[in-house]
Amino acid sequence: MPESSTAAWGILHAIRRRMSLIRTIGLLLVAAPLSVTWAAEPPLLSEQEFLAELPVVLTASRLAQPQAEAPAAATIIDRQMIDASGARNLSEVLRLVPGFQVGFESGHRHVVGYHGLADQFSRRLQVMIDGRSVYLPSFGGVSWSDLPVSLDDIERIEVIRGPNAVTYGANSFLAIINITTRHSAADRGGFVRATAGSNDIRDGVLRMAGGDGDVNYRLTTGYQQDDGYGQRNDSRSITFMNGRMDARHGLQDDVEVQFGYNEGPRGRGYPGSLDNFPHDQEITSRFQQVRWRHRLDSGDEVVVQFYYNHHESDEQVLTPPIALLGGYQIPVNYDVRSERYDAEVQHTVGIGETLRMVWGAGARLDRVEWPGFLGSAEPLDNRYYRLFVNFEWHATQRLVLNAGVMSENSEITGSDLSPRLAVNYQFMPGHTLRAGVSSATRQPVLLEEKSNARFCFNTACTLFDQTFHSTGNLDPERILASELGYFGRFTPALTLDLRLFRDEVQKLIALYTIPYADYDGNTRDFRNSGKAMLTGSELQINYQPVHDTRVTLGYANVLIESNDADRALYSKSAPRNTVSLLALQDLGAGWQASTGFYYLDSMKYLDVSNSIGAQRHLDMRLAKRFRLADSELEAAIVLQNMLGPQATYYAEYSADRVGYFTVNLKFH
Amino acid sequence: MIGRTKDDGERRMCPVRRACILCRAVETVALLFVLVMSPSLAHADVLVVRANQNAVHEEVLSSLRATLADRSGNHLKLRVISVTEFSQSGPRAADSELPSLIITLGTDAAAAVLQKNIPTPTYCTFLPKAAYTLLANSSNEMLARRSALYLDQPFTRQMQLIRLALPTRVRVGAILGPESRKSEHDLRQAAVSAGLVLRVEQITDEKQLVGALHRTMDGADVLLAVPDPLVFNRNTAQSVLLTTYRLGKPVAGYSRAYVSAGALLSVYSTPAQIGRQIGEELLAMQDRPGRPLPAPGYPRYFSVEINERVARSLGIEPDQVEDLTRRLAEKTTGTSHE
Repeated sequence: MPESSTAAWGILHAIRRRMSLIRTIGLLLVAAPLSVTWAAEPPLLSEQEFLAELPVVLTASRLAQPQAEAPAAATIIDRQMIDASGARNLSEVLRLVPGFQVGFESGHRHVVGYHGLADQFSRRLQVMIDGRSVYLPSFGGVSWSDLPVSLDDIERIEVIRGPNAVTYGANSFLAIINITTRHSAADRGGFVRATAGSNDIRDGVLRMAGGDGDVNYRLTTGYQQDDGYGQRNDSRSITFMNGRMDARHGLQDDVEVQFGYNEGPRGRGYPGSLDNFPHDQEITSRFQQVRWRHRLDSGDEVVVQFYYNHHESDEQVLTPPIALLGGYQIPVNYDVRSERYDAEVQHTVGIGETLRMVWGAGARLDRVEWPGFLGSAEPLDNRYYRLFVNFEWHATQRLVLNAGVMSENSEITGSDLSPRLAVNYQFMPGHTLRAGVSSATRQPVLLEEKSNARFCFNTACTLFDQTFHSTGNLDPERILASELGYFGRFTPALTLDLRLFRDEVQKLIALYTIPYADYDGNTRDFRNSGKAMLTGSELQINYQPVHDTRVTLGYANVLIESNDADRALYSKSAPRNTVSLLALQDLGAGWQASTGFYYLDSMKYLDVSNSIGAQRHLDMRLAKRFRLADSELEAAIVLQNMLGPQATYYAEYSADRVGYFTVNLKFH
Repeated sequence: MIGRTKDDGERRMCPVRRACILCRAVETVALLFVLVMSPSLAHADVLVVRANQNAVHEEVLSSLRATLADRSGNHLKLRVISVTEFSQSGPRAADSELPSLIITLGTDAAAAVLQKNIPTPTYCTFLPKAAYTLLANSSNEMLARRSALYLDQPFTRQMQLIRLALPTRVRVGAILGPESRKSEHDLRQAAVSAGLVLRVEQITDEKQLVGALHRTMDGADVLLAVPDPLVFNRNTAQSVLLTTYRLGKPVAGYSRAYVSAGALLSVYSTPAQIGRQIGEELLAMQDRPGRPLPAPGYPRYFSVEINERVARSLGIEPDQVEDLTRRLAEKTTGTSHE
């Protein structure tokens, strides 16, 4: 086809010519200072360049465990997939994991669940960022919008499907989401992103990174805003900042220091609601973390870590005038502040060529100040200790055995043991079978154990309504998970991961209503009433024939049989079938197209009255990358929910079609 | 010829420039007498110049001695001195009695010996090719009686290793600094001969490294580390290995240390392997008096090392090291470790 035959070709041609001109000017600009530098005489290359010892950079703890040897099924979401998904939120990316559901209770309360059993706080998953648990001691679960982390700083998300208390501690119950941010040496220079779109989407990110070989740092700050979902008071405006410094001392020690902070108003409530009327909550969330890694001469490694999490929601409001009470506005104090101090030591020991032991201990203090819900102006504490050990034994070239146990002690529930045993057998090169049994607990949070939420008429507190009153003495929830897995690498480009599971969950904590002498004669308490049996299968296929083409497919089938006690419909809390598909293709000349499709069968979250129908989400992204002299510009357009509005949490509210344009510039 | 060389020599070897000028005339006269001499090692003494304190040079020496000892009836006498001893009391160009052959170990010793312009045949070993090229160029009137055994590997060997170990990764990235950019032509030829596609970025400042890595690896499946003090050193190893690992791309290094640090594989020669080859060259010269020094060349013996943990973590299943080493030796002119 002659190039001039269509207008499109003409425009393309003009753009290409323009780009080559820009490139030439850019080259001239760089070349001028360079020619001066080149004139200097370099020193003689010494043989030391070939002989010098180097610090071990990819240590055992930095390396992702090979999937074929891991004691559990894992899904890795890497940078390429995060970019291709077009996601603006961390939570959305997790739809790529087989068996996961992501619902939007509101624009800022994202609910990430695995195999159901979730209400809006989804307490049965553990989430770690760089080894720091972000599980909230107050509500339980994770407040995804409040995490002081930018999606642009994430290197990899590793999701363990199934419990893994031995490695990740308490609440590593149904699954563990393990988020790793980029090492500060991986970026140099600056990064700017600006995003704007429908639904009042306005985001910005600015990152600066630098340092020399021994000390590197990164500082990221950003802003995120949108109007939430449907006609609701659920907009959010988030300002965040985080920093990371990695310092190396000699060949054996490195120290990682991180801090972060996230704040801003989030819209809450519904018109007409008596106790959850429209208002704003002011969120402040921050953390500090220090990790010291010491490599011993033997090759063993000791990691010492300390972190502090702080999460605060300022929410002191007056109810709208209540006609029943002669227009009285009841003051409501929803303020909640939670803190977590956590210290951990971990020692990795190689014993001979074939045995590796990881053992360690940790101590944690959770402190929650929640006058409106815990009935006490003073903060309440829970102390928690854990000891863990795991053996990884390469019995033969083809047989790997993992055996471990965690022992924990909590002030609320006393002592518990969570063991695990897994065998991986490579029956032919590239093909591995896995069988595993493991157990874990979920510790009740202070809300469940000690709630006491009273609403009063006057300063002397004549009781109007008692919405929660815990009897206490809760036991931890317990899961006994068994699985059979297969991991196959058919060609270097094609891997397949299949998992059959059977999870027996007991003592699920649920809300139930009991009589109480207040205005409606009832209050709510928590008890270990539920049990459920989860069975099903998961399939994950990753096909990447060349770097420029990639397809990942996830499928899950889960059946929940349950006593559905205390009106918690566990049996309906997960979609029977879920499918996720992500495909990306480089089109050449810097263009990349990708599409994500997600299907979920009908389901019902535990705390809502109506089921939501089957969901079909189709997202598309088209990006173009421009190489400038010493920088790189990427522009992308993303369309989400192209198949139309989809209810993701409440049947009444839908996630609409959204489109946004995002551009980022990396300069070195 | 001498005039042109002098310019080069003065520019590159300024610390000894004045001394050189003083003795230049004497040297030139001496040259005329020895010009036709070849190393004759029948009953000769060999002077080995090594660095002052260097355990690795000891390894080379002990392997060299063991190789000589394996042969009955050799008459070679090795005299080992340090660089400092050489500078203070070593032979001078004007000496009437000179050793039959000088062997240097490492860059420092080669620089010290070549600066003196002694007419004795000199075999510079255990040094990077780039260093020898600079040193030898600076006084090429002596080129005929100088040679070298490099420490680095030929690019063809490195490229062939990538081809054998990672058959699906045909796009090789390389980052060149001020030193290694001189080798770009050789590198490209080696890539072509191995059937690989090469993508090169040049940097002039360490600060450009991470950016260059991202740009290079965007269109490459594996990074070949080419020695250059600015690009690959103790300080940059972390950035190089973390960045490439994050991108899911392996690094082919040039030393055993690089593999321990996190490179997927390396081909390199150990001090013992170099020592063995020096010994064998000495024996060959002894056997055939009048034979000139071997041409400057790369090591014959080499080792391949693979980081199994990194390989598995990247989802790569390379062949056994022994198998790879053998096939690599067949593909390229070289002998594996034994």
